Order: sequence, then structure tokens, then C-alpha cells
Amino acid sequence: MSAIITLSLLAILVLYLGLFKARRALLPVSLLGLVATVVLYGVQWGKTAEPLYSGMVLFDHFAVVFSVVCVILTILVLLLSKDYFDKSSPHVAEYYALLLFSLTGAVLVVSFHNLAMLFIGIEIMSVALYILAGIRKKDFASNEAALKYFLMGAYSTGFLLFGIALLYGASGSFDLAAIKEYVVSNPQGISPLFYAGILLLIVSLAFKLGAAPFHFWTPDVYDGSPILITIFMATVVKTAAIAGFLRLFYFCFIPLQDFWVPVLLVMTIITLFVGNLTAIVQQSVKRMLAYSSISHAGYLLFAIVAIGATSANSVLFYVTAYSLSTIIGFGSLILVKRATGSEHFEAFNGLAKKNPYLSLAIAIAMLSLAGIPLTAGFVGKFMMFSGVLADYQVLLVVLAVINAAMGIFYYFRVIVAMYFKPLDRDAIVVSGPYRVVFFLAALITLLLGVYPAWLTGLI
Amino acid sequence: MITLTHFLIVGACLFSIGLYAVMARRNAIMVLVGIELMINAAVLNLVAFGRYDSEHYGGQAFALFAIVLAAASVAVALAIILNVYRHYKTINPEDINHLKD
Amino acid sequence: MQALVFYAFSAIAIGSAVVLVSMQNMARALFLFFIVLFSVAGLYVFALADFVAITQILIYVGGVLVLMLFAFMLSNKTLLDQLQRGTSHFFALPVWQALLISACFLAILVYASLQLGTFQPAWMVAAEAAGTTIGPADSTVNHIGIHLMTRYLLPFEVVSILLMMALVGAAHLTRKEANP
Repeated sequence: MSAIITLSLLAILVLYLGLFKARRALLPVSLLGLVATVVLYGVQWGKTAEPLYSGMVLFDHFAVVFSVVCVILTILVLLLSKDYFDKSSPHVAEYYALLLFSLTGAVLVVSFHNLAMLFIGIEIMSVALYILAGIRKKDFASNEAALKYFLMGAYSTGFLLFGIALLYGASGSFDLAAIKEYVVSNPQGISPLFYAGILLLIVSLAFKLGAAPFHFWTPDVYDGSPILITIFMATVVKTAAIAGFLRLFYFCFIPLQDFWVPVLLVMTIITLFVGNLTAIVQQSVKRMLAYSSISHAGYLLFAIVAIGATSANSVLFYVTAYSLSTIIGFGSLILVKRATGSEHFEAFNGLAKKNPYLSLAIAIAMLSLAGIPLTAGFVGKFMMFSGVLADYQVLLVVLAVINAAMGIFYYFRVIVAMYFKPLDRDAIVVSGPYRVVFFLAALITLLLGVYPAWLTGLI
Repeated sequence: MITLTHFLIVGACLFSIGLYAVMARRNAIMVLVGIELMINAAVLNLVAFGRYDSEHYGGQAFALFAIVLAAASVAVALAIILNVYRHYKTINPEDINHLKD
Repeated sequence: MQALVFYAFSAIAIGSAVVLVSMQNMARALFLFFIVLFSVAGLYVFALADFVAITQILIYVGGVLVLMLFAFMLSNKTLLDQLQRGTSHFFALPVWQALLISACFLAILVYASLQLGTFQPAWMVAAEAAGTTIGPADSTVNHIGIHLMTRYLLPFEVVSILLMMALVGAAHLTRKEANP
């Protein structure tokens, strides 16, 4: 709880700093505050968790671990933000404040214990991002991305609200424990309202996660928003969405598995194919990463299809691996775009000669996204697949392996462009914070690939 | 006698009408109105169920949260929409210079 | 009598909503939205949620809708034309597909609601038996106030974060920047 208070006070503090024109202090203060949040979570670790505030939030291990992941990812994103916002507006404090508010929402989404907190958390997380997607006011694509993101987000909020209303009607409470109690104690007499509510919740959470057939906003929004905001959407928001999804279904809906697993199974397969097939034909790296993030949403859904005690661990591992690589991928795209003005595959040609370390980091990220052994991405995929295999859904695994092969094809295009397509170009200047972020992300990706046990025993 | 089912059916109708508006209309404002219809339908359901919950008043409290949140997001939405269309006048979508990073 | 008024409100709400979504003229559509919101507020009163109904009128009708109308009336002609024409970038499904999908949802929801007669959820039955349903004589405002400050304290406080964020964000988006 102290972490949530710290985060929201931090955002207000940042706004005050902006008011008093202390621009240089913005980034250090935000980073310090986030580190303090991580420490506060660390102190909480291991204590027995009780639902707080009449059962509104519960900081169990699941919540703490995913919150810490979200906070650390935000730290990395903020490190990349040095000098980034200055070009779009003289008022940068708002951007930091909005990012921090959005993070507060994400933390609420992963630690809710009452549907009211889920709803409000999702709203806080999303409304901040609607604004952030449109911060380039002079840029048409950014504005349009903001509008599209808003309309799709609000649409999914409508589904979420209606779904919650139906669950409430059937079970008489918004509290997760009470809903679980309802499901467990009436195995035969579950009201049809409850089933309809589950369907609507799946629709709405799939929207937030960007899973097919509710993915169509993702490419345009990821493409149109400023890259830094795209990183935040593709990592922190996705992490929070899948964690919230898993938390709700794991807590409450396991006894009704026979009803919703087939629905999710179909969605997962569509998501994988749509994401990968469209990613193959893209010419722009930014759009390729956007489509590939859809396919990763598909892999993440595996954990919910094969829901069980190990799901949380697989999701944690997968989402960490995916987010770290995505930060490197999009982060390097910021640099490449600054240098060449283009975000096509050709913009990466010959990068390995002039920037060997940067290229190495990008290569590690792409290998991890493709799921090559010795990287974290491989272990993540392995955990997902073995979870599904344990449920005897062999067909799903076969389809997923086909998709992983497609993924290898387009991720390798970046590597091929960097290493095997010679081109005379100037070296890209990589500033200090970028180096730190790339180094850390690549290092963790490799370490987790070799010693996965560090992360798998946490929840 | 007005039963719960009556409320639920009215809610279902409003929800579907809103859904239709979002999917079929091209106009951003009308899409927004459709979304508001969906939210209103959900609030109607909440208060209809909430009638049986005099212990916690859960339905009505949640309905209030939903209304307030919807209002706040409409304010943001109008800011975004006006921003977009202000640029329609000056910017031709075909020759937008893509994002500069 | 009561039932008659209820049916009238529902018919007005649903009828004007149908007309509203099929209308081309936006200003007229928004005025119809007025009627929908008012009649839905009337339905809230029938569900014994008088405070929610008043909030609906104050916030939705008095705030949201007036905001929308002002936004149009204060904007110039070209902007209005552009808004009317709209962009084709959202869903923009053909009408029959949109109709089909919404009809599916309607069917699912209506089916679920009709089942309610036979399968009334246990908690409602228990509440009716124990007499803990909200009655017309209960003062809802008192109870809502108490519950917002006790059981729903955390969400109540967290909503304030959202409100402030929306304020900051909307102000920032509409601020005129000299030269970025």
C-alpha cells in the first residue's frame, strides 16, 4: 500500500517541480521515487498478505512481483526519456507525471482484490496513455493514434463495466473472495448472467492485451504514438493487462474452465497467426514490432488456457523476457530513426560495422524475441509450451511451433540487415543512459536464459 | 409489477444499440455517444442489481464511480478529438511528414 | 400505473437511442441523447437509486452533454463539416455486419436475463428472505455516504487520482504551444 501512495505522491511532486521550472530535477526525482517504491515492495516481501481496506487490494507475492516488474520497466523507459520529450513541448513535467500516474494504475491492476479496483486501475492506466499517445500535438499520426486508442479503450471499458455488472448480479459482490465462494459453492446452479459476464470480461481484457480478434487498434496506435510511449504501452501495459487477466481468472473462474477455455483457445490460435503472418510482410521495423507484439500476446494467453499453479510463473518469465527485448528493440529504433530518419529494415543496414555493441544488444533482443536457446525468450516459450503440453493440448503446441518458426524469419531480417548488408554510414551516437539500459536489458536476457531458476521460483 | 428482468432487458437493448453505433458509425463523436450508451446500460444493470444489496450498497456505489470515470474520460476525449480535427484544416493526411524522432 | 410509467420511460429511452444512432445530423442526434439520458435517469429512480439518478442528470446531462454541445457550437464551420464527415479509420464495418454482431450480443444478454426468472441468484433470494433489499422508504444518500467513507474508501480516494490526471491531461492537450 505504501508503494501506491509513494507513486501517486511522486507524480504530484513531479507536477510541482514542473510548476517551479525545475526541469533538471524531473528525471532524477522520478527515478529516485521509483527506486524507493521498489525498496518499499522489497520490505513487504515475505510477510503474510491480508486483503487491505475492506478487501480492496491484496499484496500477495503475485502482486508484489508483477508490481516490481512494472516499476523496473518504467525505470528503464524513463532512462530512455532523457532529452526525448524536450522536442515536443517545453512542458515536460506533465509527461513524467502522466507516466507515473499510468504506472500507479498498472500497479492497482496487478494487485486488485475487488472488481472496483480492477475497473479504476484499468481506467487510470489507460486514460493517462490516451493523453500520452497524443503529446505530439502538431503531428497528425500521433493525434490520430490518441483518438483511436481512446475510442477503442473506452469501448473496451464499456464491455468491462457491463461484464462486472453481470458478475455482480450473479454473485452479489465485487469482492474476489466472495465471487470465488459463489462459484465454488454452486457448481450446478451458476446463473447464465455469470457466463455472459465472463464472456464480456474476456472481450474487454483481450482488447487491453491486444489479442485477436480485438487487436486491430494495436498496429496503428503503436505506429502512430511517439516511440517512447509505444515502449511503455508494449511493456508495462501489456504486463499489467496479462497479470490482471490471470489474477481474475486464477482467483475466481477455474471451476468454470470447461466454459471459457475453448473460447480462449480459439482466440489464442487466431492471435498467433494474425500477428505472425502480418508481421512477416511489414517493411517498417516499428510496425513489425507492433504486429509481433500481437503474437506475443498470443503466447501469453497460453498460460491462461493451461491455467494452473504454474501459470503465474510462466507469465512472469515470458513477460519479463518479452519486455526487456522490446525495450531494446524500440529503444534502438529511436536512435536509428534519429540518425537516418527512417524506420525501415534498410535503416539498420551495416550497423554492425560502426556500432558493434549496439548491434550485439539488438541481436540478443531479436534472438530472445524469436525464442532461440540461451536467451530468456527461449525459456519463456519453453515454460509456456510445457504448461500447455501438460494439459494434452498437443495441437496448440504444434501450431505454436509453426508460429515460432515464422517469428524467427522476420526477427532475423533485422539481424541480417545489421550484419550482412554492408552500407557506408556514420556511427550512431549512443548516449550514456541508453548504454546503461541496453547493457542491463541484454545482460538480464542472457543471464535469465542461462540461469532461469532465479526468476521461476518467485511466486 | 416491474421485475429485475425488465431492467436487464432494457439494459441489454441499450448496450446493443451502443455497440452498433460504435461499430457502424464513422464519426468520432457518434462513436463516443455509442460508448456512453454502453456505459449507461451497464450502470442501469448495476443499480437494478443493487436494489437487493442494502448491506453494502455495492451496486449504487459502483454506479457512481462509473459515472464519474466516464465523465472524466469524456473530457479527455473531447480534448483529443478537437486536437485531431483542428489539424484537419491545416494538414493534408496524404502528405504528413511522419514522426520525427 | 407504476408499470405504465416504467414502460413509457423504457420505450422513450430505447426508441430515441435507435433513432439517435441512425441519424446523420449530429446536433439533432446530441439533443436526442439528452432525452435518452433523462429517461435512463428515470429508470434509475425505478430501481430505487435516486442519488445515482440525480448524479446522472448533474454529471451526464449537465456536464458531459453540455460540454459536447459547446464543443460544437463554439467550433467553426469547416471543423463541423469535417466532424460530420468523419474519418473511416475506426471500425466502420458495413451496416449488416455491425447489426449482426450487436444482434448476437443482444440475443446472449436477453437470453441470460430471461433465464433469471427460473434461476434467481441465491443472494437475491436470501436478501429478499432476510428483508435486506432497499425499500422505497430507505434514505439512500445516507447509506451511500457512509459506505463511500468506509467500505469504498480506497476506490473513492483512488478515483481522485484519475480526476486530477484527466484535468492535467486535458489542460495540457488543449494548451497552445508557442513553438515546440
